[in-house]
Amino acid sequence: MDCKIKKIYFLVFVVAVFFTASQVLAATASLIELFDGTTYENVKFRADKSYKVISFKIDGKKKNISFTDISRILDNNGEDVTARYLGKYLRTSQTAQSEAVETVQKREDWLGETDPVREKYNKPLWSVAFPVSVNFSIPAGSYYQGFKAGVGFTGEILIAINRNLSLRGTVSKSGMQDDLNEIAPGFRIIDDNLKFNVWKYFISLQFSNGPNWSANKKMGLYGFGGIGAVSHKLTGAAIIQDPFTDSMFIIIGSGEGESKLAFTSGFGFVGLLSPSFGIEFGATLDMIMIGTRQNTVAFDPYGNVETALHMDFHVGLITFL
Amino acid sequence: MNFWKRTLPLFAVMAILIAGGCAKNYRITHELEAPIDRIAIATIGEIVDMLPEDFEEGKKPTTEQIEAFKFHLTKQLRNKEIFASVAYDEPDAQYVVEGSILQFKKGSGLVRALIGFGIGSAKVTTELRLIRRAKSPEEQDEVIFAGNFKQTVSDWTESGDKIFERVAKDFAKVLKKRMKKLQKEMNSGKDS
Repeated sequence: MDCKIKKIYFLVFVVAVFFTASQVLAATASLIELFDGTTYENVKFRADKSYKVISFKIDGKKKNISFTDISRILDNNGEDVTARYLGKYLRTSQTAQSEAVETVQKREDWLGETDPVREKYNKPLWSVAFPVSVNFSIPAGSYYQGFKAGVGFTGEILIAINRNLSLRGTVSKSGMQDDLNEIAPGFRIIDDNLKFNVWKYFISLQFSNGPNWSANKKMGLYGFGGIGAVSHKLTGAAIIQDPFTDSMFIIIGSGEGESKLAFTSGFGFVGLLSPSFGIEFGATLDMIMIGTRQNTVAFDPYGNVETALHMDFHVGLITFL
Repeated sequence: MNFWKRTLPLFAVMAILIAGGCAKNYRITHELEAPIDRIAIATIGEIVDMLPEDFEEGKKPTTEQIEAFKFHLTKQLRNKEIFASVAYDEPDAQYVVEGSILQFKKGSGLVRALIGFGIGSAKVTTELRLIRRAKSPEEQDEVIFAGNFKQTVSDWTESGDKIFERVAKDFAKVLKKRMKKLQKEMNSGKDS
């Protein structure tokens, strides 16, 4: 038998010895008395210090008794051996009684509405939070024809109303860009310095389900809906050339802002990295009320409201105060 | 033959380790004898400190951790649908879950990550009791189900506070299992 096999056999032997020893260490008690007055006589028991229970068989059924319920254990000679088996969990009836009084006192303190711990737990996770994120904004609708998706940024403030509801203030710069190939199809682009600035301002009501650092809930979900305005401004200029006539044209941004009423809704996730810091990611859909357009049906004098959409995906950081 | 000589002890060690790993994380001290009224309301009562007298004050679980423990007990009992409702601090509830912390070790996530092998583990041993509240002043509150539950977190990727969630999960799971068994016995008794 080589050395490796000998080592494995030795390991098996050691494990087996430990298992057997734990069974052999069972002791006999002439009496086990509980604080409620119950007694068990002449039982062979084993003290499980890991689970803080004493185990024995009674009428063929296994019985476990918690250390906290045991008043005393007497051995076969009538000697009190409670301390030997319960160790630091030994309690006399007197201390058990005083603990019970303390417990009642604790419960009364706990249930008090003014208890600071209770107040702390029930109050919102934060009073104010500041999410900052990078967004990727995709426009949709004929109003945004000639503009394409781009990367922008968002700054927000969350003011907690209660544990689940908060007021969400948003200022966001959309990263949408002009797309001259769509504005002037077939034209050669000589220079493009057009800047399309879209700023969004919203006030929303947010519902959050967590997260909660003290409850070990590191991930939370939120959803929100609100109202605001979206401003659009095109500045700068671009030079394009007709490939057939070589004529040059200059497109100049008017520089005049155009603000529209808008509605926002979205959802996202917050993951806590510490009690006051986390990451967040989510998606937002903004509906922008462009205005009315005259309906082509002659007998409908009211026209329809035209809308445009922004789909935003964002990822960022959030700080809780 | 040589193959079995070499591998049999390995299988034996693995079997012992697996058996140890699959062992129950609790010892039931008071078994539920009759099914619980499913239209009853339960509440989570106090979780008290029954740690040894010489246990260092600073190493005891914080009130936030105990609150989190109560939160997990509420959540797990609700998930298992044992009661019609599990409310928080409900004075009119017919059942109350109370507990004691018998052993606690906060552990260290950093030590678990850097060293491992069980060093830096978070551990807790708790005694949990389901009590039927007295219906009248003449009656007394009665413990109808109790057990000592132990949990450990030795993985660095998990928060040490997970021990409370696991204990709560075990408690609700064992209680539900016992309820199912009793109901099955009752149904088979009716059928026969």
